[in-house]
Amino acid sequence: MKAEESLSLLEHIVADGQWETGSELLNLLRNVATAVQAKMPWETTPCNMVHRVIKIIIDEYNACRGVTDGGGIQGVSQMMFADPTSGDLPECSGIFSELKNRVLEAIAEHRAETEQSQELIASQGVSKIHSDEVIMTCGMWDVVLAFLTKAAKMRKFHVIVAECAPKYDGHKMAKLLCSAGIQTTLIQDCAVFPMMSRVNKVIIGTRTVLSNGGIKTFVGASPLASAAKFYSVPLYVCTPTYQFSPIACEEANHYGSGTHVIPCNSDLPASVNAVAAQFDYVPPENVTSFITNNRGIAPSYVCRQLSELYQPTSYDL
Amino acid sequence: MAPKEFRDLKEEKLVQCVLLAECPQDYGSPIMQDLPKVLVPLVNTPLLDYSLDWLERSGIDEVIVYCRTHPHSDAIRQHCRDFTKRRGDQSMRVCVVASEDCHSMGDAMRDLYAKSLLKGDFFLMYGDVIGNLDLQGLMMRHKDRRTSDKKIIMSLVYLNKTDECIGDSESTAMLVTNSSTGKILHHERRNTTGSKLSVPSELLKTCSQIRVYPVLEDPGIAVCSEIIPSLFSDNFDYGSRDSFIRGIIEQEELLDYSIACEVLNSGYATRASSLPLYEKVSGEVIRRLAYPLIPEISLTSHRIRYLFDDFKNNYWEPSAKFHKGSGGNDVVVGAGSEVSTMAGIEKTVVGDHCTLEDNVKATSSFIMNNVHIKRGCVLQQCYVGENVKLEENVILSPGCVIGAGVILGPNITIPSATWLAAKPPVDEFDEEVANKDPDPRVCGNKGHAFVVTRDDEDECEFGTLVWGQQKKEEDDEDDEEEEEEESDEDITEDMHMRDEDEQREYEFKREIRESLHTALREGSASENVVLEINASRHAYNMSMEEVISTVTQAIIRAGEEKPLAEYKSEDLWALTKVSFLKFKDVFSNYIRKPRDQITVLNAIESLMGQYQEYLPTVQKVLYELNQAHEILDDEVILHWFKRGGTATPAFPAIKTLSSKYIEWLEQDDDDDDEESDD
Repeated sequence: MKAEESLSLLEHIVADGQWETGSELLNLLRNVATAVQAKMPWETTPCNMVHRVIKIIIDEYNACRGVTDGGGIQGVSQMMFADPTSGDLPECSGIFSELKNRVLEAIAEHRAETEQSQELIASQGVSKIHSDEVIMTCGMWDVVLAFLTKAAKMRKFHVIVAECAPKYDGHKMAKLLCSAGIQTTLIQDCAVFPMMSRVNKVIIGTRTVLSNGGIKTFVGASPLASAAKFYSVPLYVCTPTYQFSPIACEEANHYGSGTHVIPCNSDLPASVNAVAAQFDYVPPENVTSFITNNRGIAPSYVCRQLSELYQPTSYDL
Repeated sequence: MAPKEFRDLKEEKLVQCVLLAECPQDYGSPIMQDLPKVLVPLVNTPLLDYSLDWLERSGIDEVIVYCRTHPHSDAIRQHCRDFTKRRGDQSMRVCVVASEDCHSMGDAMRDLYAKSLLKGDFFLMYGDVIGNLDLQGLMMRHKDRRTSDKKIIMSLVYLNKTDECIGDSESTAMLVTNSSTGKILHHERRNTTGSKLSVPSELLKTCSQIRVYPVLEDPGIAVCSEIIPSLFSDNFDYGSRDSFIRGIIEQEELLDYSIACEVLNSGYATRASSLPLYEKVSGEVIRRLAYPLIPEISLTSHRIRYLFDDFKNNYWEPSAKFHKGSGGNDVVVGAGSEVSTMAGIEKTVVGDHCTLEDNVKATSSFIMNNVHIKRGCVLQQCYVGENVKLEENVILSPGCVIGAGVILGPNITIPSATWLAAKPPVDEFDEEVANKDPDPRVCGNKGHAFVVTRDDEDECEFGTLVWGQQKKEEDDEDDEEEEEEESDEDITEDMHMRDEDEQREYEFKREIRESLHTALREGSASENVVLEINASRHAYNMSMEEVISTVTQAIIRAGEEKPLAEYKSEDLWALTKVSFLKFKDVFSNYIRKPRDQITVLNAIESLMGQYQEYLPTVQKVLYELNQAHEILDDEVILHWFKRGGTATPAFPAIKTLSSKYIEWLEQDDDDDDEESDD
């Protein structure tokens, strides 16, 4: 939803904004990205969309000019030497009348891809899950739900759902999985480690994939991933490509209200500080593979994926 | 197909909210003389911004900010204008309505009704509320309640929190509700330190399922229907919110309206109405209880302005020189401020561009912008205004409020709960004493400050805590304390009532005298006079007894054209006689029973006592009323005399003057008895 909304906003800027050259358009988009980052740095999806659109614009511009930019697939060596901090966005100062239409077309294509991403991920479920397996998941993710329910039509397997405090949306997930006919067990977050020895695979969703291959996701993912690593259980992360973010920062956590953790009527004195963090970081060593629209990606391949998606020089806006 | 199209063209109703910027409680004149209460910063954001941001997030379409013109309406207007400008065109509309004399919620409602600004159901809250409740949900539930029961006109929102509430009577309420319908049966504000709760027993007769909420937090939020402003304008008695609620509940059968209540168990909404509550709310906002209104996101630009250390709950602006070691817990430091590494601050909010030097200890204090505090100062539970300078070793005791621009000299201790301002206070005649020099004993050798005395009336509201004083500890003599408190409450309530009553009585008497006076002069018919008197009686809600005594006195005095002293007693009697003749029917209309006659006699006595000039005429008055017009019966008069009347000082004089008449009456009586025996 956030991805689609961001895309609509960007389409609106491209279609109705005041710009003549490619550079002016890029500046407009740059303002959007900086504004979002200043106000909500934890919302990476809109920023990712902006980066993607920037890449689309640059590609279309080059196509208009008739110059191919290395064909899109760069060699590993080229990538290693392309320093993201060097230079700014390429100069796109020529005026092409068909640039606008081409950009809008490309954005529409990208939009179709985004809307289908959940379907595409789900269709990979059959190949990943085998019969009589025990899958563990945590919390409520639409992507994971679609993944599992589609696989359930062909295979029979068990799912263990951790309830994921303090939101407890694992309960909702368990209910939905049950109504899809999957045998489900609901457990507490602290029971993840004891149950892990019986589990074949762990499948979770995420909010952001960081550029080093790690993920920034719900609270409780880190112990889950460590437990999986301990028992050598593979951890799969279902994520559409727009969640791949060029940022590398694991530190920017956001804190919600203490009342999410402590119920309102409790008589804890004011000197007790209740901290409710919103995000957790899982390092790339604990992730086995990302299941994306096109294919499965290993964490070490993430930077290559990023170079396909975004312009290297646009990382630091 | 036509019907389908019509259905699609549903009218989008605007959701409105009225924010009363004139709230009953105040922060005190050192703060309020420069800033309106709603623009006082709480954790470096003006209070009004919290409300406006919350309303905008909830999807309210229009906000009406109501304030008084005089002190600060321009500042509020400018602030709201900036708010809407920052948000752009699609945002919520904010309009500021200022009025010259608005002293209560009732006045505000009447004004808004007259200006027809409110269409449909609206929210009504005070400008100092901070909350994160789901307003759309509240409105939906209110509308559902109204569709199922047409009589509900208002839904009051309360929070059920059992933590230690500061026992402020303004912010808590005791409710008795009908648990099946959710309607309020009884509403009371009480001192929460007592342990007894009195529930009126009549409620148990009317309703079989009752729910009692002994202490509920009252954020002053109400969802009102469109009838409410018209109810306020119909009945001028409704001043404050409490009087309106009481009026509606008491007259439930008459008006057929009722008030529902919504008690929420989760969510956050509080009014920062007085200084102790300001401190409490500030602490809660710093501890993120009002999420998403968190200190690190500036509510003006929605950008992240502070860095946050979750371990110690500190917020500081990147440009502030704030060493993590100096801050204790729950500290907020604004832009460009410098807090020395040797300072020890805790639970404090420091504004922009402040300097706190070495060895400054500040606990639970609120320091505004541009304050310079030199070394060795100790602040505890204080409010320090803008541009204040504290020299070395100033000790501020709990509850001090330092107004803007004050300078306090070195090595001085300010006693607890002192209010200091930079300008000398205006004295009774509204003249500033221009040459007054600051008193070094108050503010130190290099200092510049004047003590502001606050009126005791402001504090006398029972149950309000003075900031800085400890809560009263409950001893074993609970009952004794409570009785004292209750009797104090009764006394203050009675005194209050008496003033109101006296006012009404005075007005009523004046009106009756005028009507009779004009009636005598113009020769109106008695029925019209009776109508006039009845109208006044209902307008002032007077009892029959009062009416009779007033009418009697007025009739006797109706003929007066000139000041009393200029009359001779014969002339007075002549006028009174005429008056009696004229208003005979009026008398007989009101006087039906012997008790009424006693009232007349008492009235005459008090009149004689008040106006000595009438004393000589008393005998003739009695004779006239008894014999000529047969308004007073013999037995009643005799009985009254025997009883001694109302034992005022005038009675002996009356008795002596009327002695012959009484004797004659007694004789007459005996004669009558003898005759009847035959």
